Amino acid sequence: MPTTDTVNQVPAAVKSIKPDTFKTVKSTCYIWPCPFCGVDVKLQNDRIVEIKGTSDHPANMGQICPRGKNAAEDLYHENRVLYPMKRVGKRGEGKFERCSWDEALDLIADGLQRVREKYGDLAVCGEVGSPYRTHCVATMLFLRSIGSPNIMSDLNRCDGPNQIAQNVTAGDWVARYAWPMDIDNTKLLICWGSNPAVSVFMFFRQWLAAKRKNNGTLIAIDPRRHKTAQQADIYVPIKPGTDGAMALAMINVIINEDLYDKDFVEHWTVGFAELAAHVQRYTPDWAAKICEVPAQQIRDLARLYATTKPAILQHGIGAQVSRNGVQTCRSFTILMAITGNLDVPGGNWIQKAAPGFKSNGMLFNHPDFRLPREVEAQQIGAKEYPLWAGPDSYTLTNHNVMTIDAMITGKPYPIKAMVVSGANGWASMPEGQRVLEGLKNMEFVVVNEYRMTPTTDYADVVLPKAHWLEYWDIDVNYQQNLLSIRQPVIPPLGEAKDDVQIFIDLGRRMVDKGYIKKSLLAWKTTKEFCEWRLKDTPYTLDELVRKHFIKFEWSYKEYEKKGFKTPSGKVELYSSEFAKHGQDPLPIWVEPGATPTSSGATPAEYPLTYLGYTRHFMNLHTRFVDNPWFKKLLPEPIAEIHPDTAARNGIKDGDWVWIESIHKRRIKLKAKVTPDIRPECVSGMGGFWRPEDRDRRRGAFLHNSNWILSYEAEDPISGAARSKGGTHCKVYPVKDGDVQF
Amino acid sequence: MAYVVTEPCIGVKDHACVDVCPVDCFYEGADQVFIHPEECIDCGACIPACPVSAIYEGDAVPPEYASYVAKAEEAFRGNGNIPRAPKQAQWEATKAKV
Repeated sequence: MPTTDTVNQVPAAVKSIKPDTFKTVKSTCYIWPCPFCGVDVKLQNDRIVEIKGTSDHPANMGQICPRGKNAAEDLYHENRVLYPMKRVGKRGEGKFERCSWDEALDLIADGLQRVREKYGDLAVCGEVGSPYRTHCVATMLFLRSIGSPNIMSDLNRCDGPNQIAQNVTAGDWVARYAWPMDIDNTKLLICWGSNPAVSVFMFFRQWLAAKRKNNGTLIAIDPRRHKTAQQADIYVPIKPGTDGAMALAMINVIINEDLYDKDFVEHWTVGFAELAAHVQRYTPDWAAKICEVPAQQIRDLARLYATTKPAILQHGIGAQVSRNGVQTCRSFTILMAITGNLDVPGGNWIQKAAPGFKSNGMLFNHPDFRLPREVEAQQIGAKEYPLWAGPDSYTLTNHNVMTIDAMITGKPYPIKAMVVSGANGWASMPEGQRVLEGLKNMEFVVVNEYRMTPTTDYADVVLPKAHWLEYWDIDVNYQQNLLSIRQPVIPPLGEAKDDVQIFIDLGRRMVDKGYIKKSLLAWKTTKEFCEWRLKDTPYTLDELVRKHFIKFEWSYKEYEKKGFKTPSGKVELYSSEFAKHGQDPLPIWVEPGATPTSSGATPAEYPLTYLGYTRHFMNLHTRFVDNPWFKKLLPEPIAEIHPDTAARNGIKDGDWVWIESIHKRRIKLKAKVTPDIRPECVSGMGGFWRPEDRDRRRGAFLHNSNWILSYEAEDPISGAARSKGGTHCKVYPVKDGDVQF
Repeated sequence: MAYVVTEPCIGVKDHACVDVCPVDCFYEGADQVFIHPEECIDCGACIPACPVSAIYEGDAVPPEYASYVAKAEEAFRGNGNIPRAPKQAQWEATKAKV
């Protein structure tokens, strides 16, 4: 029998005779916020060499975007975490040593148990990205197994306020995009505070094709003339923070000029008379002064929107993370409803479900997986924001700001352990420095990650997360009744595991040690979990693998059969739910407080408005910043500055500049002098950090908008903060020898 | 707006652009490669890759190459029977055979 040595002595020329092997495996991309495209992954000798869009997959029809195309570069990245690691230095020092999975699971089970015994179950808190993804559901089920409802997510810097608004108004989640089978019908698209040309590629490219076919119209409403706006037929440079005012004025015009869909309003809405009386004060002339958009243009837009059908109103995140967030989204949903664009082909349709399939959203809310009401009522934020957190809420996630307070101050009760999966709060949340302060107080932290991040430095144990090309999962394509398989294209590198498997194993370890009676993740493997999710559909996992995707029957206007899932069964223009909770039952707009848009004076020292979250092709929150393709295209984070503002402040294109906010903190960005931004605004990038930096902050504060924003609850309904910008700021050139702090 | 391949590509068809495109939006024309006007996401990755500097942003095409904007649109009119361009290595291999 040859020893290893003799094998290694085979001359290279002989080895190379073995022909290369090629194969292609079909799977489904996991990267938000896209439709979860079908991908053909080509392997050469079991290594991924190319990722292509699947030509007949209904979500993407053969197309692909940079995030999917370059996914293997993240998977094979030299800085990937491949083995479980335990902390050997002080917390925050970032010194780790490889350990076995067995040891890691023991350390975590014992560590969490110590905290539970000392402070109670509620002292264990989770942190994830979107709660509607599989890895987040797994995290949540584990936390609920140990009796804690506490989990922070990105929802309050994302679509959370809108989810409250849409649910109380239309009883469900209303799609803001459309996919190929539908978008061909769309005649008008309004991108309101949204730039899909660089954020939701698939949707935008399909729209461009449909636009050409139908001679469609594209409207962009945004303080920046971004990539989408540059291709728009009508561009409206609205003043930031005033979207709600303009939406109300459009409702005013549509009602007063009799342009609304009378049939729909009569049969499927409640509160129209109240709404009509209420919006009389919100005239185009009133809005024009606030939004700095001519009254005539507001009238024209309202007329165009109400008379060009079907139309999609696609609104972004900026408008909803503000003082007016939920109410602004109420106005948007009302606009869709009264123009008859809800759940029609080519309009804003209401999410569908794959019959029998246990989707992430269902698992998240499933009665079998809920905690007792009195426990959920103790979720942080439930008392203050009952529509956001707690047993009757729409997001079932913590109020982040109050949770960070609890980590720091121990009030209303101590949070002493964190279970983090794929989240990096101190780079992704405004005032990341407060997350850092909280992490220092923790007695146990476990982080599942692909890379060492600023957050992992504060961990006791870091677990290697499998990449989406390495594990089993099933996706319901964004709001469609379409199931699509995700499968291990290659076995996980190193000892990586997917989150479902991690929390199955961890739950079982907690049971074995007698720490908990039962784990809600009662499966043995992730694959078994996937089979269970399909159990009540006519399909098996093998079948889904064979077919790649399964499309279910598709129907519009489902409300005609079932009604809307609101208390009245109709679209609630007047919200009974809000009335019950003491919120304004009709949409309002108020001055958003201490911002440059308020009627109060702008502080002389900070005359500009900061727009903190511009997108650039590949960046997505804190992700992909070390992807080689992204780094080549955007080596430095960019600040867009209007030529007048640049000249006034002695800034030239390509200069390094400081942007300093009224909170007296500053970040360094590279100036891009461009007329494509309102003169009183300056833009920057959120979540930009440098995983490769030797400084252990890893650039999480140096370039990142979050460092200069504040994380203060402003929306009385959602408790959301102004986390995408809208802060007073000034801009000036960086001088030699300047340091950030 | 979408990027456009112009005159310097004619007869060169180096295909380096195909390798760097993150959205596979290059298509094979008879005398040049084309960028699909609706699939291109304007990322600009192909510009430094092109050895003959043939690629321009749609609204920055020099006047002497202006006709190439219309030529690209024409190429994709109808049902778009034009095939996707192969990667550079594959292109070279095909050329070698011929």
